[in-house]
Order: sequence, then C-alpha cells, then structure tokens
Amino acid sequence: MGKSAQVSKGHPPGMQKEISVKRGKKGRIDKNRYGLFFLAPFFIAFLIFGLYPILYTLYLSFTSYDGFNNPVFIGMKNYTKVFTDPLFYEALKNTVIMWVIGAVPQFIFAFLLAAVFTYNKVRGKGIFRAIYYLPRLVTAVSISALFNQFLSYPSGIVNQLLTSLNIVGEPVNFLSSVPFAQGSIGLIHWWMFYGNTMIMVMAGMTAISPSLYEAAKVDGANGWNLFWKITFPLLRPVTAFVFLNSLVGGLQSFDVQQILTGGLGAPQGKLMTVVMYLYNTAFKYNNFGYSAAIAYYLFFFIAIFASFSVMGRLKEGRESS
Amino acid sequence: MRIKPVKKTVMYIFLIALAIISFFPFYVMIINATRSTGDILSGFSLIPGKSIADNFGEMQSRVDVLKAFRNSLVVALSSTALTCYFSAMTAYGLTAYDFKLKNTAFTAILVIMMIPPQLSVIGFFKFMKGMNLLNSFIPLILPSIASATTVFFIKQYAETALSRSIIESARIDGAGEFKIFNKMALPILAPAIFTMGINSFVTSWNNYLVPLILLSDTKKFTLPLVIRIFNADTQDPSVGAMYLCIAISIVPVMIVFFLFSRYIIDGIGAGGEKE
Amino acid sequence: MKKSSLKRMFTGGMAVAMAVTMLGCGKNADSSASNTAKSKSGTKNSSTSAKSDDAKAEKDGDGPLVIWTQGNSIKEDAEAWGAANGVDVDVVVIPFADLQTKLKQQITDPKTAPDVYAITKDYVKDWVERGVNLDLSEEFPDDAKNYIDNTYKDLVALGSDDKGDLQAVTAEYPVGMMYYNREIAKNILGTDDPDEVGKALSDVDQWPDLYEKINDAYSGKVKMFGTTQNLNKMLSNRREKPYVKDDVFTVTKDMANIFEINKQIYDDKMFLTEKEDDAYFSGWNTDAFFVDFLPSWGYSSKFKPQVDGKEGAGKWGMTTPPYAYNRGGTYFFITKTTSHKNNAWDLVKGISVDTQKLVDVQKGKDGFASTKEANKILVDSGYEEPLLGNQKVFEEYQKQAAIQEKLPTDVVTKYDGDIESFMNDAVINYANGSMSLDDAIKGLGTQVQSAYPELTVKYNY
Repeated sequence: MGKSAQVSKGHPPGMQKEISVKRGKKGRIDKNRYGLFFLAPFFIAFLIFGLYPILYTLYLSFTSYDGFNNPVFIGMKNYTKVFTDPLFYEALKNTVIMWVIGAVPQFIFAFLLAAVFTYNKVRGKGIFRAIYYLPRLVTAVSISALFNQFLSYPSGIVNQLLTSLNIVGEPVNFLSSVPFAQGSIGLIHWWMFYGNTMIMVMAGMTAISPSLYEAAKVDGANGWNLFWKITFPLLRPVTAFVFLNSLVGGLQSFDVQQILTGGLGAPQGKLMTVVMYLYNTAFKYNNFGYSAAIAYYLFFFIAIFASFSVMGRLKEGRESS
Repeated sequence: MRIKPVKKTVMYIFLIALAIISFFPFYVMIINATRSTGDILSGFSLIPGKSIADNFGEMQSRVDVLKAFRNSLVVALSSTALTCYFSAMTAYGLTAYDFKLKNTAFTAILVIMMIPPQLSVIGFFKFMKGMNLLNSFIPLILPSIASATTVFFIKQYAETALSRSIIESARIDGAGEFKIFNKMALPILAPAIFTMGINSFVTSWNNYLVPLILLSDTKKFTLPLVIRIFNADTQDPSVGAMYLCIAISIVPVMIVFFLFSRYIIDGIGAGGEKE
Repeated sequence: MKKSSLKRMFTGGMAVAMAVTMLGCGKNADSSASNTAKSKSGTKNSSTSAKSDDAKAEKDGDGPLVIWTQGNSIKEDAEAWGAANGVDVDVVVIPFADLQTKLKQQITDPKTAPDVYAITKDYVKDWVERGVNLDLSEEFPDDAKNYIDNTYKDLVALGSDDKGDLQAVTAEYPVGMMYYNREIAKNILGTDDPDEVGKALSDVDQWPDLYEKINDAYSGKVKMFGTTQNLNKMLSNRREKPYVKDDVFTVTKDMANIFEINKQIYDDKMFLTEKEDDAYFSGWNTDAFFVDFLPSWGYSSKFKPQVDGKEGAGKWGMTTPPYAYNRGGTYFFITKTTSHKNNAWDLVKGISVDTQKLVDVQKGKDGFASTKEANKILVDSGYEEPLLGNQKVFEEYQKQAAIQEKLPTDVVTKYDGDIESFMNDAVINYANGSMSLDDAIKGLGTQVQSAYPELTVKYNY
C-alpha cells in the first residue's frame, strides 16, 4: 500500500502506469499468466513424448500387431491372456525373488551404515560415503558385463580367488545354477544400491532431534532401545519411501538380467524378469499388442506401490509450499 | 548408538573393508583393461599390465567404441542441457506465479514422476517408426525437455532460494518476465540445476532400454549397446578388449562423480531417487 | 563462475543438439550426395563368376550397396569385394540378438531396407516365406540354375520357396561331424580309425556301457561328451516330421526321447559342460572329454583356435556322427526393393558361390563348400590336416555329405530356431531333476504357445 504512494510521487508518468497495471486486479492476472508460458514447454514435450506414447501403448494393448501389418482390434483378448499367463507370473515371481535377495542386505547395510555415520564422528566420512555411493551411478549394463566376467567359469576372478584360497576345491559355475545365478543378481543389486539407500536413510536420521535421545538416556534407555523405540519409528516415512522406491525399481529390472543372460533369462528362464518378458514378446516374437498388455498389467502392480509414494510426496510438496 | 573406543576400531575396520569391497570391482576393471586376454584368464593380479594398446586395437577392430563414446556424449550432453534449462523454467513457473491450474500442474508432475518408462516404450517405438525417426538421436534427446523429477527437485530448492520480492523488484526495474528468469532466476537456482544436471547426465549416459529399441545401426550405438555386443561375443572373446570397453564406459562417470560428489550426495536426501 | 559455465553448457548443448538434428535428418541425403561419384558401376563386374547374366540391362541406382550382417567375417569379405570391384559397399553389423528384430522392422520400407542381408540357417525359412526377396530364378535364371544343379539338395531346398524359385544362396555345406579324441579311442576301443570309431558310437543305447569303460579307465576324469548343447543339436536333427504342421506344434515321442537321453547323461554325469565355456574350450587340450559334435565350420571357429600349437594338436579325429545333422550356415538374400540388383547379385556371388572363392575360403578354414564343383577340387587336393592327426579332412566331409544329403528336407519350419531354444531349457529342467518330464514338456508347450499365439500345442508322447 505504502509503496504505491511513495512511488507515484517521485516517478515519471510512465513508471506510474506500469505500477498501477501491476497492482490492479487485471495486472496481477496478466503477470501470473506467464506461469502458464513457463510451464508450456514441459507439458507440450510431455504430451508429445510422454502421454501420446502411453496412450498409444494402451490402444495397442487392445489390438494384435506384429510390427508391420496394421494393428487389428481384438478387444480384451490380450488382457484375458495376460491375467492367466503362467509365464507372466513366473517372470513376476523371478523379479520379486531377485529383488528380495538384493534388497534385504541392501537395507540392512544401509541402516547400519546410516546409524554409524549419523551418531559417530567418523574420519573420512565424505570419502566413505562417496565410495559407497559410486556404484549406483555407473551404467548397469557395464556393471553386469563386468560381473559376468568376474563370475565366469572356470577362470573368472571370483573362481580364481576361491580356488587359490582353497575355499572351494573346484571352480563354481555361478551362472548356470539357478540359486547362484539369482544370488548373483541380488549381489549386483546390493552392491549398486546400498550406498544410495544409506544416504537417503541418513537424511532422515539426521533430522531426528538429539534431545529425544538425551531425554531417553536420562530415563535409562540403552543403545538398543534407543534405536528401536526412537530412531526406527521416527524413520518410518523415510523407510517407507525408500522401500517403495526400491520395490518399484526392482519390479522394472531389465538391464542387469539381460546382459547376464543374453536375453532369455537363463538358466531355465529363472532370471527372466517381467520387463524382459515384455521386451521379448514385442521385439523377439513381434507380438506388440500382447506386449503392450503386459506393460499395462505390470503397471497395475507398480501403480499400487507407487501411489503410496505419490501420496507421501504430495504431502511433502504441499507442506513446503 | 554412540560406540566405545574398542568398538570404534571394529567400526573402522568394517567401514574400510566395505569400502574396499565396493571399490574393488572398479579397481580390477581398470587393471584388467591394461592386461592381455591371456594374462587375465590365467591369473589374478593387482598390478597393471602393459597391454592397453593391444586391447585398444582389438577393441576398435571389433566395434568402434570411440564412436559409441562420442554418441553417448552427444546424447547425454544435449539431453542434460535441455533438461536443465526447461526444468528450471518449469520450476520457476510453479514458484514465481500463482494461477488457477498451478496445483493441478504440480500434482500432475508428481504423478508423472511415478510413471514407469516401460508403459510408453511400445507406443514410443511405433510412433518413432511411423515418423521414420528410428536410428536417430532426436527421440533420445528431445523427451528430456520434460523431466518431472528434475522439476520437482528444483522446485523444492526454488521455494526457499527464490523470493518473490526479488522478482518484484526486477519487474519494477522494467525487466520482462523471461529476462527475469534468464538473468536472475537461473543463477540463483544454479546449485540445484547443477546437481540435477549431473544426475540427468548420468541417467542419459546409462540409458539402455530406449536406445536398444530405437537404434539398429551400430554406427549410432551408445556405449551400453556396444557393451552388449562385446558381452554377447562368446566365440573367441577378447577379454582384455572387453574390460577396456567397460572401463571406457565407466571411468568418465567416476571422474565426474569424484569431482562433484558433494553436490550429488547432498542432493539425494532432499530430492529422492528412484533406483 | 557458475552462471557463465551454466550458460556455456547450455549454449554448447543447444549447438550440439542442433548439429545432431541436422546429422540425424540428413542421414540419407549425406550418403547419396557423397556417393554419386563412386557407384556408377552398374555393369562393371570382376570376371570371377563362371557365367554372367547380362539378363536385365537395368542400371543400378545411386547410393551405396547396403548389406546387413551379424558377423565380422562377412563384413570384411564384403568390403574387400567392394574395394576390388569399385563398388561402394556399406556394411551394417547388427548384433545377433537384434538382427531378426531390426530386419523385420525395416525391410518393408525401401528407404530403410538393406540391399543384401545375411541370415543364419535357423531363420532362413521364415525369411523365404516372407516374400520380401528378389526371386533369383527369375532375375538371374542362368546363374540360379547353375547354383541349383551344383549345390546340395537340402541347401537349395531351404533357400527356395514353394514354387521352387531360388531366393537365397549359401557358401557352405555345414556337414555335421563328430570329433573324437584319438588316444582315448585307442585306449577304449582299440582303434582310432574314423570308421571304426563312428561305428562304435552309432548306437545311443550303447553309450552308457561305453562310458562305464571310460570311467573305469580314467577314474572319472574323462567325460564322454564336451557340451550337451552340441550333443542336442545333433540329436534334435533326427526328425521325421516337422515340429509344426498346419499351425499345430506337436510334442512327439522322438522329442520325449531326447529328454530321456539327456536325463541319463545327467544322471551318469557323462558330459563336461552344458554350454561352450572356458572349461570346454580348454578341455580340447586336457583330454577332458572323448567326443564332441561340431559341424564343418566348427573346425575354424571352435576347434582350431583352441588346439593350434597346443597339447591337443594332432590328438583329435573326425568321423560320422550317430545321426546325421545339418547345423548352421549363413544364407544371403537380396531384397526385392533394392535399386542395386546387379551389384547385389555380383556381391553375393563374389563372396559366396563363386567357385574359386569357395575353394580358397574353405581350404583356409578346413570347411566344406556349398557347391559340388568346389568340393571336388578340395577333395582332389588330398589335403591331410595335421591338427587332426593327418586326416584327409575334405574326404571325410564328403563321405558324410553323401549321408547327410539323404535327410528329408521338408522337416524345416520357420519356428525351429525358437522351438529348439525353448527345448534346450526344458530338457535341462528335466535332466537335472528340477522338474518331472510332464512338467518340463508342459513348460515347453507354454513357451511355444506364448511366443506364437497362432499355433495350437498338442502332446503326443
């Protein structure tokens, strides 16, 4: 209010006009309209490269399409097929198993390390964090190829080490036995992500006010109690977030398994993930329509978990704005 | 969870052991990239070898890895540039203005963040095929204009870093909206943009599924696709060349990371990552 | 400062993006512009072919001759041919896993389709039936007839359509052989003569007894077979009926038999490895196994590199396998929509069926050619291969070729490649005990059904 009075006194007529435009109702909306312009490129690009393909995939899921002849509308057939497809559920099972094998150690290490770093003065903390985090940044394909070499039979590095240290008598064929192969995938996932999870958990841990701990200690609580009664419960939102994120990511696994098995989920298809099944159906067997249905069915599973995450973020977003 | 001194040594041992385990694959990768195939298969060594030139020659004779490197670089840099600029623009739009659709837009962005890429992949393929854009970098670069995660992250930052009063005073000085954005907002948002820029670069560098589907000419391949070729070559594999190729795909990211690790890591907690 | 570096990055990125856009869009423009000078040679051929067809006096179009292949050796051959004949040849190498896919995507569009493409045997039937190829019998009748007369029946049949018109040619006759370790043979069978050894192993039912003898003699250190994968490629070839007929995929008793044979092999641990891995490769030099099944091209791609100059040299011999089998081989097609008909055919001839070229190539790799004319020259040379204990390798191939040519040619379908790959998995599932026979076979049926929804699956075992 005061501003207007000041300004109109000492400024040339032109300026005055501008200001009154700004302060008038019309003026406010004019400037605010710019917001739409700023948002336009994003949404236009999204409409073209994001929404349109998604809707097109939806359309294709109701057709039979082999990649060159025109799509033929077949209604819900693809969906009835995928709902009862043993190969889909097998792939889903594999995907989840491999995720669990990796996620369990991943979370244990993440929490353990987060606690160690948050509650202790560790020298070289920055370097440690950096080294633990690094694997996550690296190309999954490269890492898989690398581990493929390490685990190769009989003269990959792991086998060389195991035999020379006499831990095993003969080299182990990791990638040809189902438990070892799935375990290897789990190992790679653990290695790639525990650092990332650790950092996210740390963000949550550091937010917990130390005074809570002080108060509890006064009441005689020991380290164990402190963790389970204070830290863990307060970390629930972070834990949930990290867990959901990991699960959603795990459901989408593709790169690592494709490289390690050359595309067919060997041995015996036990490493076949849902996305690999999707990819093969479309690009190997040219059933694009069915593949689209697989994509949407998978999305159904992902959406369930992702929606919890979105709701959490929404709360976060609203709270900050 | 404060730890006693005795336990402190144990803690350090644990941390160091874990660091060694984490870093070990990288170390072996670099070492083996310099050793010959025969040496690698016959024994394990922690010291570098002398065959890096041989490996390089073998590698290039099978696949033009340098070209793939260039391709990856072009795609990643262009994508990053687009993402940074337009995400900042979008975030600015959401912070500096109030308009009716603002909240809907923001919710939309959150929802978009959660959409898995597999949903669009089939349709995107048919779409690009129809436009004869298979085997081109355009479909790999242009979509980067709309990066929901980046927008979200920069917006969070902008909420605190960008105050309306600064914008107001710039308006008073006669600046147009876009000028305010370009000359004033961008520099203020720079740290966030920078962090997400690195993230975006790395994501694009590592992208596998979409290039796999769209590109068929090996001359246009990006690094992940080229690695796949080496990996699939089980007859008479040249292991040394393979390690070198993997190293070439990883080392740049390692370098970027060690230079900017602070920014990257500090950014994670706030913005969150999808694995 | 952050601000300026950001700006720099941004402008740099935009510049790069624009440059890339222009490059990407201008792909076709570029290539045709720079190559009008080079590829005028519609009729300039090297005089390597026996008879040349001046048939259609069509001039070849502009632009490079594009050939798609998955292999490096074809790349080198094609480029060498191009250089020697003044034709601009552009070889696109596509990884095996993607070749089928990418080809299918782009073959119908003349702008993106290659002029020539090379496909491995398993998928040839599919491509012959697609109707996208140049009819060689129509376009180059003399050459085609020459090839048909001179080449083995099954190779011709695979590369021809229902009308009997030739669509694809190949350079090799992939004769399926059995490699055996001479010393082990002498020890166990008392002889290392190829015919005797072949006879001794010809009865599948005798294998367990034979293996017992090997086990006793070598205290379990020597396995009977190198890889089960190679073994199964041999076994699965003995079909009397095609896998799929009239859109019905039937699991037959013969197929179930293969499952049982494998189970026995796993139970008695008669093999070294499932796939060709390092243990298998080094096994050629360490007496780790008695026999393995490799086709004629296996000599140069798998056997020789392992054995040359090492302990295994001279220790192996080659003979007739228990069942004749035809495995692999690369076939060349010319696309119908090509604007380089003449050059394409000359290239294909030059790198595949030209007699002199065949003799040179197969002599160098101890392989077997696709034409009888070339093979006669090879056999007549009386060449004795030191790595095989001075065996007359071409003679051996010819003996086996006579047997192999008699195999029925109508058992090949376009589904074979995938069916056999699914079968591999199913067989392993049963053989290593993780599934019952019925479950494993059911799994096979499910996979086939899923990959090819248009088929019906029947079980008749």
